Order: sequence, then structure tokens, then C-alpha cells
Amino acid sequence: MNRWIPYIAKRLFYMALTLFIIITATFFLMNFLPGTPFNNQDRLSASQLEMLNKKYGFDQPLFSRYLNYLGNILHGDFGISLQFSDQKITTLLGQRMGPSIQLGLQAVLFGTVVGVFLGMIAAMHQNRGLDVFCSLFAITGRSVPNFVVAVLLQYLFAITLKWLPIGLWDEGFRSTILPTLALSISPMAESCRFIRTEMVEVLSSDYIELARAKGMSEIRIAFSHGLRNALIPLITVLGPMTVSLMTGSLVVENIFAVPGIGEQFTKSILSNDYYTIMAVTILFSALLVTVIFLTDILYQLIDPRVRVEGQA
Amino acid sequence: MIEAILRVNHLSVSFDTYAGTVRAVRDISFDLGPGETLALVGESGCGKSVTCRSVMGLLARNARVEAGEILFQGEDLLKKSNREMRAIRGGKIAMIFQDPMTSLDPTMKIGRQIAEAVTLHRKVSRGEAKRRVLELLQLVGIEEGEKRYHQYPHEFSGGQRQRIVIAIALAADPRILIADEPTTALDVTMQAQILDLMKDIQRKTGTSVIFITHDLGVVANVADRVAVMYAGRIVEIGTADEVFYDPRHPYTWGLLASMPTLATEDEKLYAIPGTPPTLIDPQPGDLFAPRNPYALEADKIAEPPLFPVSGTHFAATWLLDPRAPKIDPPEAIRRRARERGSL
Amino acid sequence: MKKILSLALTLALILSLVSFASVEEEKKVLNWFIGGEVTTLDTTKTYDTISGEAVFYFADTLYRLDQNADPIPNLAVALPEISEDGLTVTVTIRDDAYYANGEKILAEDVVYAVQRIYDPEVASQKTTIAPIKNATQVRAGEVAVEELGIQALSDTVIEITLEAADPYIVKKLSDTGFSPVSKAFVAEKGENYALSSDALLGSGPFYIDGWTGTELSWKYIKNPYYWDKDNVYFDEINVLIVKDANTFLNLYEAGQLDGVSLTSDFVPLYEGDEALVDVPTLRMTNLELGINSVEVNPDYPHNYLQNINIRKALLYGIDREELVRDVLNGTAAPTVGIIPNGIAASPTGESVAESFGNLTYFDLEAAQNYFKTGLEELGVEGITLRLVTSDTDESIKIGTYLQSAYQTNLPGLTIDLANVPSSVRFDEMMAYQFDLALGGWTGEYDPTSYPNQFETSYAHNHGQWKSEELTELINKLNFEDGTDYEARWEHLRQANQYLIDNAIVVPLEQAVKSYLINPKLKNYITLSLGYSSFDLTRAYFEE
Repeated sequence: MNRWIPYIAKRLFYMALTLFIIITATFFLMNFLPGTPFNNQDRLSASQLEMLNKKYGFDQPLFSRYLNYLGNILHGDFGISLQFSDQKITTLLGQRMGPSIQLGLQAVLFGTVVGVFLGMIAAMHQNRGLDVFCSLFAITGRSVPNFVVAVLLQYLFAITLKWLPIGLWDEGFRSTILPTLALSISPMAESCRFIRTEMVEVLSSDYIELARAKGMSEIRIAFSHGLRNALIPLITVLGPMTVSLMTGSLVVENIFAVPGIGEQFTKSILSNDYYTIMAVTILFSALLVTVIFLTDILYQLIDPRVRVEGQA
Repeated sequence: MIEAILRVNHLSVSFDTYAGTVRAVRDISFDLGPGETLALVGESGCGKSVTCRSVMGLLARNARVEAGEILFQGEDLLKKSNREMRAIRGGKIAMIFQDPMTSLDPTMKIGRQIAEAVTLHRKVSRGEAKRRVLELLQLVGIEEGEKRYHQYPHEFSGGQRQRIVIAIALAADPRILIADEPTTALDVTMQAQILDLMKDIQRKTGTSVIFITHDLGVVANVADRVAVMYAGRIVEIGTADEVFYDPRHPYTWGLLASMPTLATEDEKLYAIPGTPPTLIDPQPGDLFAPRNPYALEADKIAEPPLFPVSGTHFAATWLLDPRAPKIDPPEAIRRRARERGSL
Repeated sequence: MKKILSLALTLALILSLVSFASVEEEKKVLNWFIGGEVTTLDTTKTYDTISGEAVFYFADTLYRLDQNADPIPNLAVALPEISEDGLTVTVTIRDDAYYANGEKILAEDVVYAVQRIYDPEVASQKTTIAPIKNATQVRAGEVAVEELGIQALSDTVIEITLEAADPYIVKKLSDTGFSPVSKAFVAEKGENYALSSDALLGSGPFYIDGWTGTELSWKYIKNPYYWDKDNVYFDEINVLIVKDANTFLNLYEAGQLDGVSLTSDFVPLYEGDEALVDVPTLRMTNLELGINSVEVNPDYPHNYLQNINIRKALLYGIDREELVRDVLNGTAAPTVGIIPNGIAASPTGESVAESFGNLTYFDLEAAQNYFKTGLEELGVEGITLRLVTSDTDESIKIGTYLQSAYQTNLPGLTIDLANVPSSVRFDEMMAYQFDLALGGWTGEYDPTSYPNQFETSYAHNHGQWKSEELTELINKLNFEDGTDYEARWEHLRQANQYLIDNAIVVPLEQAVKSYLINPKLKNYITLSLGYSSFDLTRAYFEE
């Protein structure tokens, strides 16, 4: 276990460094955004604007604002939202993050499991009936935008059949079913495609032939030997895919009236809400950096060839 | 006459490809006795691998068995269902492959890979399976079995990996072991070790071995009997002595001539001119004829059947027909026979 | 024995459920909507209609507007006393008004609220709601907040001092900016005031519950201490923020909402439906002209818009009926001038359209003539103008329509369309350097704010049109006319005429909001003025 410690420590350091650079770059780039962070800017008089700038410290020089900001986030204070009149950003994002993360994780989990399964079936029946079906399904899934799927699902299950709620987030797990389905189409299609390609290659390798010669059934071979080897490239993409899903899909969340964080990512930029922009950037980057780190660890667990060296 | 453990009768296998139907195996017959090693020799594409895969039931999807039967312990393997074959594969008949570097699953501990072969064919507990694995590891000469059990393939050298492959093959105590060019990918030292190991194991367990190779030197080392294949047919079959020292088929002459001995002086190495034919729509007559310096007119008309030379020695060449002219084998062959005789 | 016991238990269970259900039945609930995310629920800080609507339920106002937009006393006992010169306004509030926590509402609470609006420490984005004395100085920090022209003369009397007489002052007093705010409560909550429903004190017919700043739904619960609680029908109003038009409609159709706002895509589907309600708004969409860009920046590539004929061509060269009908699907009405129809009536009760006439009509021939003349005067064969709009769906639709319509109607005119984020458009307009921009204005009560947009010194005079004549008119309206309604109306007419005659701007359409409302809902008021489209406080379901 102790060979992991220096490795993890090194990685954590680099993660922190990456975050620091991102924070700094974003802070200074934001300065170039046109407009003001005040929603009512069309109607504010010049003196009112001046007063507002003074209150929120925007009349201070950029660098001192930067240092202030850094100092604050080290205390866990991410500032207040300008869009939402002085709400603490930690509260705002904190409350909204939950549903998005839940949906994201559910979608990735469900989509990947189903996608891997479909991909395996496709690979095992290469170029025959089931393969064609699975591949078509995957292509359709990639081509149809997830909000189209969302609206169709809503129409079918919530309005016509009335099995599931139309939207909102108030019926516990049942409320998450349709949005998860809509969001899972993308990871499902990706996984199916990846696994199929990898499995086809893996299934034609020598060690699989040997496994057959041992007298193993095709299915068992696929799960025991094939899957683990085919999974490796998929893990590479799973990371960023998960992050982009966890940080909310604006449209699907809107369609199902889910109080998620998706909208913040787009809206905060459009309304120049500086502190929210910083916070969501940090959030996204932190998630991404962490997921990449976890992915690397996952590699090592699955593929013994890339394990951290250092044993006797 | 000891009962043969495997009898292949008039086996013909073809492949459907986009280029046409490839007649890879054309009417092959041979026996395998208990405890004996039969070498299948020939160039690439002569059908030796296909034959063995037919025995194992591991043919590709586009393969068709046109005719023949493969009798194992009295039953025709070609008539068995996939499920029945899975019990035999790895259990009664095992196979080892050519490239040890890619024959093992890189993400699974080798101990487990061997254990799989055990539990697939024997109902044993995990503890018992592990004991068997350690036994096997010892059998194939891998030391520190306890420690090695938990290691991954990339932690072993090529030679060690081949031993592990052999261990897997032997896991369920098979009656027949098919070795498809097991030493081709190894260097000479390892080659010798593996061959020694295989002979050793064979002595201990009494397993019959079908040894596929294109290297006659290896054949000389291990084989009891030799079958020479060309273009999907057996062209000569006999005991090792008979085939090495009294070969009758021009192809066998060519093969032996291209194998240098200590007595070969610094000359250009002999190679049989030309290349083997594609087996799509084979032309009539003996397929070796185009490359055969001893070809007769008859070779262009019909394929020669197997003519007996002795009770155990057969060759498929019109030269053995009583009507054929008497031809002496090439000098190199006669020299070898002489050297042997003088020993 | 077991059987009897289980039977008895089952009966008991059923009975309890039934009684529970019947108790539930007695609660009167309305399921309503909020059009988007609220930006703040602090009554002294709201500046948009969405937040304005959301606070309206729990913030009692001095006056309410009825369906004719006439003020009726609410928290105030009667219409205010206004001094001769119009500068002093005295309001007496009820003696029996209480907050949702049982505490009495006092005049000083109203004063405190208004002080908050102008207090630079509070930093409200609310624009001036009334010309209160010293407001600008207080905001600029030059003068203490106590010097603001609003004082509590007693527990129930408020005296407001204005900079200038304002004939619309009573209507303005219906704004939630004048709702009482308890100083003690604010002090208690500190920086958390108004950030969650616990930190808000309801003074109106309801109080808010279940909001912590990020929910998409919360409740308004009947205020048991409200002075008019007998006239408040609903025990609970559940509100939902629904952002997707389709989902919105589905919820309404499924009976989970009693009202829905329709976007232009859906309006045609409900033509003639008894649930369809149209509410005209005061939101004007104008094509703003960057007339004097070349004065602001001498390197500006052209000065085409300084030519009055070009401007007139643009003014008369667009078919507003077509725009409204085909592009906006009836969710708007064509303009008649600078001032929207419905904001006020003439002294003789005529509407803006009736009194001022329709000055912004479509006259293709005249427009083409103007354009030809303009081109000749400029000495060019054709001109290209860049039109910048926001990148919202509606703006893009209108922009695209304008481009094709103008290019068809006025040969020789090429329009380059640029759809950009709102803040980018805003920046361009504030730099006063642009050709054409899709902008607009939503006024509140005083029509003066509409022509005021183009007054020389006004910060948002994007076209930088300089006119002493207009400045004079605006000054008269703001400072001289006072409560002389005839004079006001005449000056408004002149301002309107002036701006149209000089084609300073091209008014396009006036937004109409369409809703589907549960036909069982009665006694609600739809408002074109002010910060809320609906007044549901005294609404009820017809049984």
C-alpha cells in the first residue's frame, strides 16, 4: 500500500496546481466580458451603476480583487451571486448540485452498463442480426439529441401512459427515471460503440483462442476475459463524460423542471455573474481533475501492466 | 495392434471466402496411438492447423467439413454438439499455441487462468483447484509456485509463459495434447527446454501428442511418427526413422535437403523452388507437380494415392507405382542414411 | 376472533383515511406559475416582473390597481391627500394591519422600506419609483438616508415629499417598493435577510414558505393576521417555476397547474379557447437607430442614418401587422407611436391610439420614395446597415424578419444581421456606435419615460439625438406640468409627434402576453402596468 502514497501525493499536488492555474486564468479572462453583471443594466442610471460598482467592489483594481478572491475561497467563501441578489453562491450551487450529480451518475451508470452489455452482444454476433441491431441503436442514440428523446419520453410515459411524473423533482426516485433515461442515451451509445470495437479485437486475440481451447463457453469467455480487456479504452472516455453529465444538461433539466445546476453554467456567463462563473468553473474543473485522477487509479486496478512500480 | 486413441478418416474441410471456396484439407486420414507423438510437418498453409482445429472443434465460422469422421474413443467428434465438444476441449483433448506472449490474458493472474482450466472439467473446491495448480506449476518447472500463483503474465519470460500454457493444457489430464508450433516463437535454448519438458511430461502422463511444426529439427527430437503434409493432403507418413532416413516423396526430399546438417559445407542453402498453390479450385493432378523436379506425366493427370512402402510407411507419389521409373533420392538424403548407418 | 379483529382494524384504517381525505379536501389550493427564476425576494430590490410577481403575494401594497388600472386603497385607508402644488403626498395606513408573525404594521415600516431602496449600502437595482426628494443625492451618498423625502408623522401617517408634482403618484404607490419592511426583522436576520422564506416577513394576504433561494417551487400560505383575510379565498398557493414551454403546457393540461403562459408557438393552437386570456403589456420593441454614431466616433464608416429620408423610409417601410401576425403569432400588437397604447388615457378618456392617432403605419410607396431620395442625397446606389439583436429566440425571429422585409421593401438596402448575447448588444448600444439595434423599453406608469429615452442628456439615448425642443418638452413634463393633466397630455402628444416626424426611432410592436387560465378561477386582475401581470390576492374558484 505504501507505494501508493507518494504517487497519490504527487497527483494531488498537480491537481491543486491545475486548479490554481484555471482559477487565475478564468478570473483575468472574465474581465474581458462585455457588459455589466447587473441584470437591470438597460435601465440603470450612470450614478446608480457607480453606486453598485462601489458596493460590490468592482471599482477596485483587478489584481487586488484577485487576491481578495483567492483569500476568500481558501476560507470556503465563494462570494455572492449578482444574478440572485446576494444569495451565497455556496448555498445556491450547493442546493442545485445535488440533482444534477444524481442524474449524471445515474445516467452514466445505467447507460454504461446497458451500453457495455449491448456492445458485447454486438461483438459476439459480429456482422450478424444482433450486431446490426445494436449498432443501429447506438448510431441512432448518438444522432438524436437528448432533448428530443426527453420530450418523446415525456410524451409517451408521462402524458399518454401516465406512468411517470411529467417533471418537477418531487416524487423521489420516480422523478429521476425519465431524465435519467434521456441523459443515458449518450453514454449508452458511446459505451456500446467502444465495447463493440474493442471486444471484436479482443475476441480475435490468442488468449481468447486459448480460453476456447480450454473448453469455455463463448459467453463466459466474453465476461471473464473479454470484458476486462475491452473495458480499458472505455474508461478513458467515461471520466469526462461523467463530468459533463454531472454538471447538468441544461435542456433536459428544463424539460423536466429539475432544480439542477445546468442552467447556471450557461446563464452565469450570459449575465456576467462573475462570482458564479468562477464558482462553476472551479466546480467543473475540480470534478474533471478528480475524475481523471480516479480514472487513472481505475486503470491500475484493472490493467496490471500499468501498475505503479516500486515493489520489491 | 494397439487401439488408436484418435482416428481421422478421410477428412475434408473447406472455407467459404470472398475469393472463393478454399479447399484447405483434402481427404486426410491418420491414426494416433496412445502415448505416441505424431508430428505434422509442412509449409504454411498446408492444412496442418486446420486439421487439428477440426479435431478440437475450433474451426472458424466460414469453415465447412465436407466429409470424413474424427473418431475419438470410438465416437465421431464431428457429430457432437458444441456443448459436448466443450467438455472434451481442454478436458480430454487440449491444445497449446504458438506465441506465448499473447496466449495468456494479461489482466488475470496466471494462477487463476490455470485454475479455470481445472474447474471447467472437474468439480473440485477452490482449495483443491489451487493445489492442482501448484502441482501443475511444479510439473512444468515453474519454481516458487505459491508466489507465482498471484502474478501476472507480464511478470514472466517467454519461456515461462509457454510453460504456463502447457500447464493449462495439462490441467484436466487430457488424453491428447495438440501442440501448434509451440516452440516457433522461442529462441533455441528455450526451445530445447520446452521440448525436454514436453517429453518428460509425456513420459509421466502417457499423453498422446500431435506436434505441428515446420521445423524438421524439432521433429527429429520428439516425434515417434511423422506425417508430411502438402496442399491439404498427407503426402508421406511413417515412423520418424522411416521418414528421415528412407523418404520416398520428392517433397520430403526437398524438405530434408533444405535442412542443413553438420556435414553441410558452406554452400547456398537448398530451398524448394516456387510456392504452395492456393487451394481455390485446385487444378487436376498432383498439386506438387509444378515444383517437383521428379514430376511424371501421370502427375499432371491424377493425384497419386498413398502407396505402401512398409506396414507403417506410406507415400503419395507416382514414383512408387510399379510402372514408374526407378529414381534415386538426392545425394543429401542418401548421405544422411549412410551417416546413420555408420553410427 | 382473529377475523373480527382484522376486519375491525381494516374498517378503522379506512375510516381514518376517509376522514383524513375529507380534512384535506377542505384546503383550497391554487397551483400557479412563476415565469422564470426569481432574482430576489427583497421588496426593496426587485427590478424585474418575475420577482415583482413573486413578492406581490406576500407584500401588502398601499394601493392596488383594479382591472381599469385605477388605484383602490389597500393598506392605505383612502386615496392620499395631495397638496396644491403636488409636492406633498400624505398617506394614512390602516390601524389593524399585522405581519404574518402577529406584529403590527407601522408607518415607519413603509418609510424604512423606501429608505432601503435608495440606501447605497443596500445597493438596490430598483430604478426610481417616484421622484422623491433627495433620492439622487441619497443614492450618491451625498446625503444621509434620513434626509429622504419620506417621513412617518405617526404610527399611521406617512408624508412623502416629491421633487416635482407627479400625476401618476397614486398609481406608483401601488408598487411593492412601498410595502412595509420591519426594521427590527431585518436587523435580526442581518445579512441573511430575504435570502430564504424564514428570513422574509409577509405583510400581505399570504406569507412565503419553503423557499431557500434555489427551489423551483414553493408555497404561499394564507396570512392568518391579514386585515382582509376574510376576502382571501385560497389557503395555499403553490407556485412552480417552469422554464420549458412544452412541459409547462403539459402540466396545465394534466391539471397540475391552474394557469400557464403561452409562447408564440402555442398561441395559435388555443384560438377561441375559453381559457385563453390576452394581457397587453407596456413592453415596446423598437428598432433603435444609431443616428449620430459618426459624431461619437469620427472614424465611423458612414453617416447614413443622419439622413432623415433614410430614417423615414425605415419608419414607414415595415408592415407591423405582418410582423405581429406571422412572426409573433399574435403575441404582440402593432405600435401606434412612441407611447404604448394602454398606459394612460387622455383627459377626455381617449386611449393613446384614439388621441394621438396611428403614426407608425405601413406605407410602401412613401417609404420607397423616401429611400430613393435619401440615396440620392447621400450620393450612393445602395447602403448596407448592420442590425444587432440579442440571441434569444424571439429577437432572432424579429431580426430575421426585419432583414428580409426591409431588403424586399427597400431595394438598395442590405441588412447585415448580428445575433449576439444581450450584454454584447448592451455594450454596443452604450458605446453609442451602431447602425440598427433591436431594443425597447418597458415603462411603468408615466408615459414620459418613453419619449425620455431620446432626451439629449439621457444615458440610454443610444442614438445620441440632440434636440433642445425635445429637452424642453421633457422638462415641462417633469417639472412644470405637475398635475395639469391637459398640459401633460398636450406635451406628450407633441413629444410623440416630434419623434415620429423626425423618425428618431422605429417603434415596432407592443408585447401582448397570452395565458391559459383555468376557467374556474374568478376575480383575478390582469395588469398591464406595474411589476406584476396578475393580482390573484382576492381571486377564488367558482364552485
